[in-house]
Amino acid sequence: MILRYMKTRLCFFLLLGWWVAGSGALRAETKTVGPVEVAFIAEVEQVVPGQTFYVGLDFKLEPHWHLYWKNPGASGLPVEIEWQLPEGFSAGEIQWPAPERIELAELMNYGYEDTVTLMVPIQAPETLQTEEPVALQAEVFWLVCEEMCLPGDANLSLELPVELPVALESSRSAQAAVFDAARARLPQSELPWGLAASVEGQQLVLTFEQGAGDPIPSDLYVYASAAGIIDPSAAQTLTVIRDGVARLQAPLDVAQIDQPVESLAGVLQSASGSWAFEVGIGEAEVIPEAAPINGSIPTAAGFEGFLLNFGLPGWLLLAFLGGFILNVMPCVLPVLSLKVFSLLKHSGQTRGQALLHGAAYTAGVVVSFLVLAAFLFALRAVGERIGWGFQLQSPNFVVALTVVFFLFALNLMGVFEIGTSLVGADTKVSQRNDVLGSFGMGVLAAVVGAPCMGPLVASVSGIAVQANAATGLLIFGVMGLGLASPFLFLSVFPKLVAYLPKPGVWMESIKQFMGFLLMAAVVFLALVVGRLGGVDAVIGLLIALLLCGLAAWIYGRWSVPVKPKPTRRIAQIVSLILLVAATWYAINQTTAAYQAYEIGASASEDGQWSAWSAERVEAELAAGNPVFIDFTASWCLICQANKKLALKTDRTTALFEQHGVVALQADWTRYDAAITTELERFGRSGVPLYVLYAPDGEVTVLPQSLTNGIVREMVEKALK
Amino acid sequence: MKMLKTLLFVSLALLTSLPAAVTTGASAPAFTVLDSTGAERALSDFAGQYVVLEWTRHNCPFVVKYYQQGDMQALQKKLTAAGAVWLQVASSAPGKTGYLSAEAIEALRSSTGTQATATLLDSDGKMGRAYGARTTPHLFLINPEGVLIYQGAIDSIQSARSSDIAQATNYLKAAYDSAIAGEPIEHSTTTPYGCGVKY
Repeated sequence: MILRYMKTRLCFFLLLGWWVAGSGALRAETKTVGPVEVAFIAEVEQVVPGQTFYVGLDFKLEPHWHLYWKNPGASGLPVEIEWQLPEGFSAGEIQWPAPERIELAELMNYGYEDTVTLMVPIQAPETLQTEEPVALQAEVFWLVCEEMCLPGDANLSLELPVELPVALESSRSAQAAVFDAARARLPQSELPWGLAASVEGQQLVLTFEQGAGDPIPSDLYVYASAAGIIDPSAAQTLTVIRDGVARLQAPLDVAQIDQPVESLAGVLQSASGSWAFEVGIGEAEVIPEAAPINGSIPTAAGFEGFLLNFGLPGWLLLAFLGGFILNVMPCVLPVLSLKVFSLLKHSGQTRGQALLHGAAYTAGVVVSFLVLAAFLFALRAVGERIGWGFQLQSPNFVVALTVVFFLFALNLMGVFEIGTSLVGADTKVSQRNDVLGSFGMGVLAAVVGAPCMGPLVASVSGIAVQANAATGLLIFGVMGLGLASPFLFLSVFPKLVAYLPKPGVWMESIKQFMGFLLMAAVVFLALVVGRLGGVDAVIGLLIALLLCGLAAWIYGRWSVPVKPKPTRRIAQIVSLILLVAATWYAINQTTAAYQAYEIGASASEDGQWSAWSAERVEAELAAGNPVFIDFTASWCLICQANKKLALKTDRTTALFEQHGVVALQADWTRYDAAITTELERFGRSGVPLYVLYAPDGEVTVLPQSLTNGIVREMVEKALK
Repeated sequence: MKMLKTLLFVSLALLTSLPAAVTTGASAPAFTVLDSTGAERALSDFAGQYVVLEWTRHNCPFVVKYYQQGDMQALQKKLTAAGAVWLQVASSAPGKTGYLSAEAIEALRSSTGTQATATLLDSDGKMGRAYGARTTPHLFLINPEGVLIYQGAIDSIQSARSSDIAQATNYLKAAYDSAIAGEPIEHSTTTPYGCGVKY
C-alpha cells in the first residue's frame, strides 16, 4: 500500500519534472482528498483554435474504495464535473469507461476501483487568437465508498498554451498514454449481435441474435445508463433459446414497474469485452422456437394419443398408468425390492399398521414428486432450461444419493443397525421409526424413479412441464400416486401379502443379498458421477464412500446397546463427523471436477455415432441423408438398455449403414439448454427420445422401448 | 453447477428475500420490531395514521446532509405534529459500518434532536429486506389504510451537499401533502440515493 503510494508519487514527480523540463507552459494539478488522488490532465501539449481535444480526470483510489459510474447502481452517486472554461470553450459529456460490479452487503453498485480516467472532450473556439495560455477549471464532486462513504470534491485547473494551426494536429502530451488506456476501457460502440428488447411482466428481456457475429457470451450482464430502470441487485439470467439466439432477463427496478419503458441505453459486459447499446423497447416478442427443420412433428399415436386427446382427465389417467408402470422399470427396481422386503417383514401386522405404512410410503413418493416438480417450475420461472430428471444432472445431488444408497446397503448387509434397542424397550419408538422408514423409502423410489421416462409418461410429462404450474404439479402428483399404488393397494388388503412367502430365517439372507442389489445401484450412480465429472469425481466419491463405510463400521461396532453409554455417544459423534466430512469432501471434489471436466470426444464420438447439434441435423438433411437421433443420458437406465439391446447392436449398425443413416447422439447427462429446448419441441421433458428424420422431411418418433426389430421396421418404413 | 447455484439462489430467495421490493399501491409489509427504548413496535399499532419509514445511518454523508442543519428534524416535527408517525429504521448489521447499540441510538436521538416517533432496531435486516430498502436515506410513506403510497429518495437532487436542499423538491413532503389534500401523488416511486444499507 505504502509502496504503491510511493510508486504513484514517484511517477508523478518524474512526470512533473518531465513537463517542467519539456514544455514549461503546461501545468497540471493533482490533489489528494482522503482515499482519492485525482489529477487533471490533457492529452495535447497545446490548444489549437477550432479543435476538439480531450482532458481527463485521472483518479487513483486506495484499495477497496470505489467511485461510481453514471448509474451508480443500488446506492452511491456518480462523479460530477462543473466546468469553468474561458469564453467560447465548451465541454462535452464524460466518456465513462465500462463499469465494474461492486457488491456490498447484497447490494450491487456500479463503479470503479483502483484507477479510472474520466475523459471529457473540450471544444476550442475558432476565434481563439491570443497567444496567452488558456486556463481550464474543473470543480469535481464525487462520492467514494468502501464500507463507509465519503463525499469529496476538488477544484482543479490546467493551463495550456495556444498554438495557431500550423500543423493539423497538436502534439500529444506526456499523458497521452493515460488517454490511450482510458479509451481501451470505453465500451465498444458496435454491438456484435442483433438486439431486440421487450418488457415481459416485471422483467426487461433482451434478445440477442448471433447471426454471423461472435458467439454470445454466457456471462453477459446489462447495465442501464440511467438509474431506476433495472434492479441493480437482482440476478440477471441468460438463457440460450436455441443455437445463436439467447435471452437476457433483467428484473425491472421497483421505480419502473408499471411505467412504460420506451427505450434503453446502456452497456453490455462480459469477460471478453463491453459494448454500448441503445435499443427501442417493443411489445413482448415471441421468439419463434427453432423452425421445424422439415415437416411437422408427429403426435403420439395409439392408446397414448387417444388418451392425450381427452385433456386433463386423459392426462391424469396417463400419468397414473405411467407411474404404475415405472414400478417395473430398471431404475426403481432396487428400491422396490426393498419395499417388498419390508412388506414381508410386516406381514403379520394388523390392517391399521399396514395402512399406516402404505400411506407413509405413498406420501413419501407423492411429496417427493411434488417437491421435484415445484423446483422444476421455480427454476424454469427464473429462466433455466431444464426438464424432468434435472436432479440427476447435478453432481452434488448424485453424490448425496450415492452416499444414501451405500449406507443403506451396509445397513442391509448388517454392518450396522439403526434403532435397535434393548429387548422389550419402547416399541412405540421403533414403530414410529418404521413409519418414517416407509416414508423415506417412498422418497428414494421417487427420486430415483422420477427421471425414468417409461412408456406412457413421455408425452404427458412433456405436457406437464409446459403447462401452467398447477396443472403440472397435479400431473406429477398423480404420476407419483401411480408409482406408489401397488403398495398402497397391498396395504389396503394386507391379506394379499399372505400369498407371498412366510417370513423366516431365510429373510436374513435375502436382506443381505438385497444389500448387493443396492451396491449395484451405487456402481450405477458412480458411473453417472463419472460421466458428470470424470475420473477425478469418481475417485472423490470412492474416497468419500470409504469414509462413510468407516463411519458405519464404527457406529455398528460401538454404538450398540451392550456398550456403555459414553462409548456409544463417542461412536455416534465420530461416525457423524466422518459422515458429514465425507459427504462434504465428495461434493466439493465432484463440483470442482464437474466444472473442470469437458465431455471429451470419446463421449460423443462412438463408432458410427457422433454428437448432435441442430446445425448438423440441418446439414445432413440438406445433403439428403436420413438422420437418427438418440436423446440420452447416462443416468437414464432405459436409455442404456435400449442402447445395449437395439441401438449399438451389429444388426442396427448394419441397418444404418445399409440405408446411409447418420446416427447422432444428444447427451443430456449434464445440463444442456439446447437439448432441453429440442426435447420440448417434441413435446417431451426428458429422455429417452428417439427421432428419425427422412430426407423428404418425414419425422418419425420411435417408442421408448426399442428392439432391433422395432428399429428395423421404423427405419424401413420411413425410408422405403 | 450453474443450475445448482440457481437452485440455491431460488431457495434462498424463497426463504429470505422474496418480497425484495414492495410495489407502491400495495399493502405495506407488516413488521414487529423493537425500538431503541426496548418497546415493541408493529405496523398494526399505527392503523389509521400516516406512517413514515426512514432508513437511516448516523455516519452516512447523505443522512448527515439532512440532519446537520435540522432539515430532517423540521420535517419530522411538521408531520408528527399533524398526527403522522415517523419511524427511523437502523438496518446496519452488527460489525458493519453504522451499527449502534440501543443505548448508543438513544444517545444519538437526543444529540441530533430528532423528532421521529421512534428508532427501530433492524440489525438482522429482516424489515429492510421486506421493504427492499437499499440506501440511507430511503423513505417510505404508508397511508392510514396501510397502503404504501410513496417510496424512494428524500428529494430530487442527488447529492451529499446540504446547500442543495433548498433547491430540491422534497418527494416525501410532496407525497404527504398530496395525500392529505386527497390529490394524486405525482412522484410515488423514485429511485433512492445515498449510501448502501449495510445488511
